[in-house]
Amino acid sequence: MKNTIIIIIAIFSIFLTSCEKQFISTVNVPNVQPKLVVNSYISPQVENILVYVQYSIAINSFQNNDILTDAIVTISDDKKTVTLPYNNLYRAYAVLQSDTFKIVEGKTYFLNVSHKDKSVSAQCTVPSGDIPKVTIVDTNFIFSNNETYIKTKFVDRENSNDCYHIACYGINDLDSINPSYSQLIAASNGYYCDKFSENEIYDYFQKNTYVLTKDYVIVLALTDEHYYYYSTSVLNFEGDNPFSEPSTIYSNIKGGLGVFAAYTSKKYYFKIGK
Amino acid sequence: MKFKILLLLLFIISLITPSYAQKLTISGFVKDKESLESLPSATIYVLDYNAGTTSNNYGFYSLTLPKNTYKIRFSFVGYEPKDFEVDLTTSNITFDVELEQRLKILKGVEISAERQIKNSNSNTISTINVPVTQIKTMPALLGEKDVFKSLQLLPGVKSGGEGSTGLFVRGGSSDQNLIILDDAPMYNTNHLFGFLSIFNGDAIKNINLTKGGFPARFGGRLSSVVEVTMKEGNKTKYSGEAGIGLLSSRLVLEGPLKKNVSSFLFSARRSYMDVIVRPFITDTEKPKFFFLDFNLKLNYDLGNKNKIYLSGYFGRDAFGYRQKEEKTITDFGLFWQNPTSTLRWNHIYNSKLFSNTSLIYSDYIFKIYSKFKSENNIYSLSYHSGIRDISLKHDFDYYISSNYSLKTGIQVINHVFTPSALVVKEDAHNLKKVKKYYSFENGLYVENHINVNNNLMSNIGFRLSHFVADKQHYFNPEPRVTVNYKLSDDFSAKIAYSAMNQYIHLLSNTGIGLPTDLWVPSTKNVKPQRSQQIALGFAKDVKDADISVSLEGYYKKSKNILGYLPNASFLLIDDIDSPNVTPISWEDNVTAGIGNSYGAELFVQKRSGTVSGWISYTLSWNKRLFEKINFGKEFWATQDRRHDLAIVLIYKITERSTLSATWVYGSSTPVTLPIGFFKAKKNNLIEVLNPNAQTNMNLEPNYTVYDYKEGINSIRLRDYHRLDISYQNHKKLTKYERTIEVGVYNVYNRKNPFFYMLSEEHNSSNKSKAVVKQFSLFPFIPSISYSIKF
Repeated sequence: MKNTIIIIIAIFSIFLTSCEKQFISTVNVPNVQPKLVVNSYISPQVENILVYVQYSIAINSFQNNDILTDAIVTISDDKKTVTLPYNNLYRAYAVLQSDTFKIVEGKTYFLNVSHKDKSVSAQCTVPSGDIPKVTIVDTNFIFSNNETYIKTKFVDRENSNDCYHIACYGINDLDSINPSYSQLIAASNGYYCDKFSENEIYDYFQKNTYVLTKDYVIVLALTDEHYYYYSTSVLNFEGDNPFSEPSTIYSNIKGGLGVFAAYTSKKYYFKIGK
Repeated sequence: MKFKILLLLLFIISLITPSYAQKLTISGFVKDKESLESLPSATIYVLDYNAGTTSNNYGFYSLTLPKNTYKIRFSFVGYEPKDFEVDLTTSNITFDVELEQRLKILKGVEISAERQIKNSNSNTISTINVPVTQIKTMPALLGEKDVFKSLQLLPGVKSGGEGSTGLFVRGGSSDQNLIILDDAPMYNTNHLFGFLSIFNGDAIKNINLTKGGFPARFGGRLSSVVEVTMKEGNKTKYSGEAGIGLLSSRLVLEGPLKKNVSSFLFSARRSYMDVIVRPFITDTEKPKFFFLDFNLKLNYDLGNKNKIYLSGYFGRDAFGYRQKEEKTITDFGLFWQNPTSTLRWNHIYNSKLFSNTSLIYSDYIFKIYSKFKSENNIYSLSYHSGIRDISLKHDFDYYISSNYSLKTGIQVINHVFTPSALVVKEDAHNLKKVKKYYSFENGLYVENHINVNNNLMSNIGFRLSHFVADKQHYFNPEPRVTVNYKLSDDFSAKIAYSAMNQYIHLLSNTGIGLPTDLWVPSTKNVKPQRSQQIALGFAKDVKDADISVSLEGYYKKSKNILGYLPNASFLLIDDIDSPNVTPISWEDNVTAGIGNSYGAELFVQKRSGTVSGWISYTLSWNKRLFEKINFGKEFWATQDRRHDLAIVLIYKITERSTLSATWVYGSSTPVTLPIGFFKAKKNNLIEVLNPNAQTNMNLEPNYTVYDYKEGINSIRLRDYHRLDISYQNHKKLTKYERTIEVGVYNVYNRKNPFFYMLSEEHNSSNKSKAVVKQFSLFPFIPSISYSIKF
């Protein structure tokens, strides 16, 4: 009996020490291929229409994801189709808005991108109507800390399902030909959507320790849902943080990844201090 | 219309309550002969009259019959049935019955006995009872028998992952199970992060799982009720059981306090990993990693009409480290514990009316702590969450006739939730942020057990539930109906409908039941979870082979189920080291959605004989829909698994030795896993301000993010399967009986997935690529254990 127990323990020990390699193994994920990635935001207030095109990097692949320069990119409304050539300056497919092709409020636009055997498409509609007025509720500058606080308010449009993006910039050399802009950090990230909020009045709070200027501008954009979902999902992305829920990235690109979204916007310039 | 309903009710009442004057009642308790333990769910059947009943949870039965002399059979699974001639012609009779275990009589020789409890006869659906004795012979991880884990081998029940004790019943989440130990709710059933349950099999008398067709006496959870009943203790003699395993040791002692009147049962378990490593570390260090649990039960018969039971449980898991040097002390770690106690009073008003009153206490706490003490400094931080319950419950069983019995009762629970409490002490400044939620959860129920005729049985019940927290009241009616129609003597069709409400929620973003999960109440913003379930099934008993077969289908729709918002974290604090640390409201981290689950379950069970065991198969679908998760698109629930199969076989080689095997198979579960990366661009509106900005600034996509294919839970990778075997040898020695068990977990060394994660690999030119790695937990694991019974 004693010998039997010793033999059993010896066998068990051998198994336990040899099983270290058991714990980790590589798994093949089936049907994984790179996809076309498209990023484009269109607006009547921005003179260029830009479309960025790349490939995603699939797992189990050594490829890179440089900007694609030989894709075929077309944008169309219900009447016209325009092909966007690749522009080295923007590192994107670009076309200047003109009388012949314009981004207009309320209109729907269609985007098609193809490269070799892959093609993707998307559509979006430019929001229409008046953009709410932004008022500056409060400002404060704490000289000792170089901190600027700006509190803003706007009233959401009634009976609509709108999304908004609000941003604030400090302006250096406002009167020069080429002023420079420094973005202030938004306490609430600056994205709102009616669907997820019952409030009609939004307060917005910003601070920045590096902006030393009196001139500021608030930009309020009325956006479509694609803009809101994509921006917030990118903003919330936390990678492989094991302590948080996975955050997926929104896309309205059929057959691919990325976003084709539209917005209209309004600017409000103001000064802080004397 | 009202008149017609009244007529119908009168007609039903006339059917089930014929004149009382000609009837008399036999009532009493069914007990184990050797220990005088009460036997719940024992069958009492009147031969040649076709009437019967079952004993309640406390072993009490009552049967009202027309004046006559009857032959009544008392039976219970694993016990030799007994027949008695009863003269019920003059007055009501109190008749206690003691049954003897079959093995004691037959010295281990099995007989092909008549089946004791017919599944087709029982007026329940989706309810399974697994004999504890059978569980004790089944193979187990490291030889640690676990009555709770054995439930994972039943149809409709899925585990939380490799080795976990989590239960996911019919598409529900782990918090949707009402787990009660002698009426006390258990809020965390995990030892060792879920690798072992807190239930010590040696102290458990009975374990019962209800997945659907919920009787109205149960409420407060959506998916299942797991009733665990502790043994009462031997009222005739002192006995005990002790065991040594690879992980822990255990001891059970029981015996009479006053012979035949009162008894006690005490059990204890403790792991000894910390004791083993102690010789290898210095005196200044003290690791703390252990689990322990104690069960104590006392019961006292106060004459024929009153019984009192006091049962208690205390369990604790601790993982930490303490170092004491010359002038400094460092101490950090975490622990969780869940003491409970139940005081119960059984009172028999008369032969037809039985009551039970329970006063219940449960206090679950999970705590993380860190302390540093030096000559000049003291710093301590503790974070804890928990739930404390004090509850009063009063139930009546009223046996009106052999065709009609009524159960009714009321329960009041006072919950105190502490979802997060943070206390920081540091020399000059102290911080204490404790948020408590006080609430009451109340229930009022009535169950009507009606046998319309010999073929049609029903349980028509209603529960009114109420919850109040933070001045927010919720009232919800919960109708419950179960109907059993006998198609033949051994074959019946069953259908059930139940509506359930759940007012307390477990916030868990791992889904595997870690102690870090938080219990929270329904509030104004977080509505109660509600589900409706329809179950339809057939039950067949194969008399000669002692086999029961059931086939059931179910559809369950749940609403207001909670999910974490994308990116939400389960630690509700920002930076634990920061003095300005602020708890984040849990309500801001969650969102409500809809759950849909449906499936079919097959269960073939053989409870006794030379070869016993069961085969269970589940085919199921389980989906979730949240407006704020996965962009409002429906996705598979984390525990969705199309196929689940479990085969449990126990073979009695001889009177002294048993060979058992378990094979489980589960098709792959969905995971959220990247299949690639891409660069995204967030618009920052600068282009509106400056036309040149489009060239001046780097506006290319620059945020590297993951491609999650179709979103949440859209990838399925590897299936799960495993074979475990064990061999038990019993030997009767002069003073005690010893059992040696040798077992192997994962016999063919299957690398089963525990979790997946991304990893980086480089080629010869130093280019990198991402690959998916699977982490497995338990390879081939042999075990040996030794136990004695005296």
